[in-house]
Amino acid sequence: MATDHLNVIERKLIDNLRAGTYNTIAGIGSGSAWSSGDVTVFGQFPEPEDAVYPCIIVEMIAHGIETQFMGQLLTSGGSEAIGELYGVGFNLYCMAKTENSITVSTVPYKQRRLMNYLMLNCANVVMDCDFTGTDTEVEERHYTGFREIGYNPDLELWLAKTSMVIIFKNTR
Amino acid sequence: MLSAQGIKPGSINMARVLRQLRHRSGQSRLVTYHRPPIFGKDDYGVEGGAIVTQELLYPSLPALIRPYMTADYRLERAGANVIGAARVYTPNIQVIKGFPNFEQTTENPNFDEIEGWDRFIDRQRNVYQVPTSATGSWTSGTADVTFATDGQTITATLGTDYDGGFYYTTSATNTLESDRITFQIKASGASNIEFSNFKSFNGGTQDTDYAITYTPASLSIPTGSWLTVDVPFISGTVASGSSIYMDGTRYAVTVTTGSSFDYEANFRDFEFGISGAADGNIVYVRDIRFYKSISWHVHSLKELNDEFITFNCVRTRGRRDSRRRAYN
Repeated sequence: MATDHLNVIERKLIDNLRAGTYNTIAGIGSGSAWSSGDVTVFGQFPEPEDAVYPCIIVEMIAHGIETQFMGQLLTSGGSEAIGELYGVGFNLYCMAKTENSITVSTVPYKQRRLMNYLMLNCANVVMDCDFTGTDTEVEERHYTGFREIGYNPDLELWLAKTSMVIIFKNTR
Repeated sequence: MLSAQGIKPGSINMARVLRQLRHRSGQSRLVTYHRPPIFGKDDYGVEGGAIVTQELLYPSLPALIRPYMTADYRLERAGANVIGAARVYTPNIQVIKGFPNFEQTTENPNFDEIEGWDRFIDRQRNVYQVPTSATGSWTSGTADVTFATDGQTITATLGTDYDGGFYYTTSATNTLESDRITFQIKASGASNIEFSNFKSFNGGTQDTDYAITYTPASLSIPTGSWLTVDVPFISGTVASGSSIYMDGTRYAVTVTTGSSFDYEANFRDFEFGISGAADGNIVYVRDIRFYKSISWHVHSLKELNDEFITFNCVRTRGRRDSRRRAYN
């Protein structure tokens, strides 16, 4: 059975966002933006009774062939395999309620300050997401930057949205 | 007769209309007015962690709720979370300021008018009402109490040990769908009977590990009129606490939970902790209800005139209890 790359990538992203881990000079995953539980991460828009804020929603929006090689021959580990380079795109949404706060260096961050912190650290986490230990070989990642940042009065939520693309080797 | 009541012929006495509707049909209800606490801002315009104005939580505001949409589950499913819209009619602001707590007194200058983002907490349905029509399941706890009832109100007469608790007990009873508790309480015999606390035991009886405990700060039970208490019944209130307002004065309510408390567990006991002044003091309690609320948030002011006010409101939160029970 071919490796289930899409689920591996999606779940690894969710796990790392939950823990808030990024890389520093001390090594892979040695930094952390927040403690597990400070920010709730969903793999889809949550059911209303599950919705907890602040949250990050990881929503897969696109998937397809990025590069097809002649004969579809790829090196996989020490041997050859059939495959292509595939891409998968995600939208990531950061959301917070007005009254939400997380404590950063003993200071409660709320509203715009909290969103600023969530956005940059969300970028840190997804750019440093480490797939070592999985069977998925990630070749490239592209992070597009946050947009549509602001407060939505209808939803009574602070919101920001970004997209990212991960290119991975799909072998079989 | 109309002019003798100070009302112009042709005018609408909205308070009376709401009262009539409430008594005859239930379309008009007494809702709880809620304004969340206001936090101070830093030099960059962002709210911090210090409350500069406490929450306003005033029960018993008459209002007519006319929903356009009570709950839209498709919008819920899409993640939008805007799941209902309603038009809310209230009496005019001068009449509102005649209601208890709504006066803008020197002790409580914070209520000026109903503003955008203020909330009307309505009852979607009563999930469980603690019976006060019979005395059989009411028990003296650490206090020495004799019970009586007139069919609506439980009357607890304190004996020689007038400092402690008394409680209602029942077999396991579902209260999962409820998210607020309300009741009315008053006293007689002394003006300084302290309302020490009240507790709901869920999952076990008379063991504080199973209790959610609400502790008002230095609150004396009123002797002349009923005090209406309306507080959240969810685990999320524990950190921030709640409020009881009486005569415009806020009494902070500390909310703590025992190590085994789970609001999804079945209800077992409801306990009142009081500290009486003397043997023979009486505490009256009625209308103890666990209810499922709808919080209507004011998004726009549609009409403002001498007779009534119309607000366009939206509910931005909701839930399906089947999922709560299934997913725990």
